[in-house]
Amino acid sequence: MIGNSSGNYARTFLPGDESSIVSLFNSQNENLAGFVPRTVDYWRWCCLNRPDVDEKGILVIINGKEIVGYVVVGKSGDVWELCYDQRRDGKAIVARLLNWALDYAKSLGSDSVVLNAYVGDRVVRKVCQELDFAEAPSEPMFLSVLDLPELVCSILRAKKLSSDSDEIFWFNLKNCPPWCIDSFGVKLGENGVVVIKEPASFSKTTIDTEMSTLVALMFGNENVKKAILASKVRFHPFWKIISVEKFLHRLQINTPWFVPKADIG
Amino acid sequence: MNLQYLYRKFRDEDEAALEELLRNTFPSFKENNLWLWKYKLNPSFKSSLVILAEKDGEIVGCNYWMLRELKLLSNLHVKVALGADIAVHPKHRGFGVGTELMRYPRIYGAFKEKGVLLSYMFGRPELSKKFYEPAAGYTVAPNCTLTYKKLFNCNQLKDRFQKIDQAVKSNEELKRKLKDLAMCISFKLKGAPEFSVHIEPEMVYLNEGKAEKPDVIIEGSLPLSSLVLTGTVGTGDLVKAWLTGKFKIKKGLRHIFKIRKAFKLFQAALK
Repeated sequence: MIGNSSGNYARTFLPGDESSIVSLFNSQNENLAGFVPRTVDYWRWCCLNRPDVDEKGILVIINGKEIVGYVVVGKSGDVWELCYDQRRDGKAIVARLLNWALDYAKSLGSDSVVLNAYVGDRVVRKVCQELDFAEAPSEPMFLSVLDLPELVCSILRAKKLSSDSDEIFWFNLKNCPPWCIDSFGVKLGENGVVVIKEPASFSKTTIDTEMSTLVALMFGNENVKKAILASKVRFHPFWKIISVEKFLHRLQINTPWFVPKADIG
Repeated sequence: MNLQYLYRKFRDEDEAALEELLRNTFPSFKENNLWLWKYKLNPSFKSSLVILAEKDGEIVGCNYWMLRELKLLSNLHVKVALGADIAVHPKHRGFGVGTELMRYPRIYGAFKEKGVLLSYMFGRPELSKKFYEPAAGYTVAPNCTLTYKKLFNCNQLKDRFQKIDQAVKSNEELKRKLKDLAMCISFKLKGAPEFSVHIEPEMVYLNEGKAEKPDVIIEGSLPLSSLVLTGTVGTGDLVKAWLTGKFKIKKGLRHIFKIRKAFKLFQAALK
């Protein structure tokens, strides 16, 4: 157990630390997405019980009785998880964790140390620069939508989208794979969002597009305005342009995505 | 669907054959208990989400889907399946087995019955258009993650150059092409110890440490130079990186096209 002047002290993991670690991870990544929300079971599996990880490869920083930072380092030199309390002296905590990670990996004969961090994390970036780490884009991630109507509704519900009067947007999707339905509606009303799978003769705004365009719009790979101008998205009636644009904007997943190494597999 | 192959869900008696296929495909499975941890000890393991390809009673391919929650927005978690360990025995590659393994749980409703809204995977960008997208509609996910890397030594790079050297020695055409490209390139990179690559008429090797009289000195960051070392960076990107100062040639600028040619040959040698 090693202390310092800021009141932080460091020790390796002890059984019972799991729930504090999990709540630190979830709270510090509250404004990010793209990762598996941590539960004690999941954390034990993806970090603690990983064959590459030994309990001695997990360092926690404690202030008072609270865990304010931790790092999980594998024998391979992979940093599976690193997290710190951003309300504290982040630079001191991260520097301590990473210096320890380098020493630990070196002592086990690893060839390198590799970690993932959110691109906007200036503290990690600064410490990594000082420790002569090189930066690279992380492993590319690919997504495939399996249940588009349910996904669309989940996003709209999460964004608490509703309408004073009932409004229906009907999608006709081209080039859908056989496991996806190519036609469905979304009804926005006072009571929230409802999926409609059976076509009916109700008044609606029809949106015609390719499935890949809709997915690209949702995941930020395509710009709504540009897609409309390029006729990649067509709709009827035309005078609904503002509400279609607004609706498609609402479908966009715009929370920054961060993938910790422990989630990669 | 190719009728020569049978696609089905995993059964307990498949364990040994599946483990062997994984060990032969991914070196990491040769290490301690990776199979047990990743599959059986995974709290969300579902045998119905391990899909196998079988031919004449032999397991020749597999794809494992890990059920989990993924945070999509700050207040939205959805059920997803992470596609992992897609493996096809080398003798059976090129017959569409990988594509069918990816499609099987989609077509036969294995995801639907578990309420899975999305599947995702980590893969190689160059396979996106020719494999992931046509096979299962995969698109690039938004990602704001950076990887930081620091090498303690050049062992990984040395291994790579040993393989290149073996390939060169056993290939007369490569030897002939490398004859005009003889040089010593010294690399001073952020995140790595100094090293040099020696290209000689019948030999290619990497030395850790300072080179005595290099023909070329390259400074830059490790990731970009890795692309140079793997021959995957195009001339345009190289010139752009050089103009923006990410990649500096301190000595021997006139050799830049020779360097690219040599590393392209190395890439071909490793294929």
